[in-house]
Amino acid sequence: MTRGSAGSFEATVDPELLVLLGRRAPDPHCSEVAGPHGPRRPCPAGGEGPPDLPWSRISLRCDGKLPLSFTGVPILACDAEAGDPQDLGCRAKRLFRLYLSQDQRLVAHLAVLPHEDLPARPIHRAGYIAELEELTRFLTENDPSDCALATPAQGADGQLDALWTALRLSLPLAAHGCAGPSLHTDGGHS
Amino acid sequence: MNVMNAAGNSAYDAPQPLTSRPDNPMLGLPRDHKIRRMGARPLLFRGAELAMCMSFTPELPYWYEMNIYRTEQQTFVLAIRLFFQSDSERDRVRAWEFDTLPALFSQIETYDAAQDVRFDFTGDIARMSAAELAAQSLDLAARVAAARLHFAGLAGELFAEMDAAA
Repeated sequence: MTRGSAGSFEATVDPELLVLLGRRAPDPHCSEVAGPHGPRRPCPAGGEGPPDLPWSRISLRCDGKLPLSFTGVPILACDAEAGDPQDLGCRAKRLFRLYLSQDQRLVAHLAVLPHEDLPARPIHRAGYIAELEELTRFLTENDPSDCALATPAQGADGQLDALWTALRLSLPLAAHGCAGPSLHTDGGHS
Repeated sequence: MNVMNAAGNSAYDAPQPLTSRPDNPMLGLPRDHKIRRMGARPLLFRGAELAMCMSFTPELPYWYEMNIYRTEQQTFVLAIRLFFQSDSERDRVRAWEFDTLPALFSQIETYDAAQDVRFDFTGDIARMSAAELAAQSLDLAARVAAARLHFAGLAGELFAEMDAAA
């Protein structure tokens, strides 16, 4: 039996599940099984194989999804502190990695790790990058200020609390279109 | 703290933070389960729990718990439970049965936690200013986003643990 945790979230997995999975869950992201989702670089003439690089099996954690697993090699690492240290609302480390998969596609992984004294959860995002615009979008859509959203509005019963909650959270919401017409909820009655 | 399953006296009546169940002795052992669901008949089966995860955080007013079971009929059951710290909130249970594990994982990936956000509209809408309405709207949007982020983090935790153990 294994058990892991990140922050206060915890998961426990019985070995039987791993056996049922054949040690590995089907990966909807993995082109090696499911076919490509993004354009590949043209194959070298003459049917040459992938370049001689230290390939290894890589599995990238992704919130809300099965890990993105592929055979590849890291080609870029870029870590940064995000947010003003004086601003308690958003202090986080942003760890960005770019990988080249063996089938010659780019994979981006972003981990946003909020400062430990913040009541926020780490964020993990991963995805294939087909073109430069997608990389730009990937980075801007996963701004570290997302972490602030992990803190729900406690005691927001009054108008004033609701207003302040809205004002405090409006910037990341506006940036990600969360308040747009696509928003839907049944108010918890389903 | 309200830790009772408001859906009734199921086989899983008293969820506790995982930290109080250090070895999780029930995991992997076949037993009878009765999961009462909202809007559906209770799900009755005998089977073993294959995995569980929970997002209990003392600072948060709610937390999720997910359980995966294998039944004796070799089907798989997913239960997603939402618990509240407040006694005034009703805990919610959703459960489904699947033929395969990939179908179950797909349900986790597509579960929209926005459906768990209650819209408490305070005040008289006819007398509210545009700014107040905007604030209410933003507050709801923020809570929806927070719920989705919260659940996605838990799902990622479960999948990452499966991946790390494999």
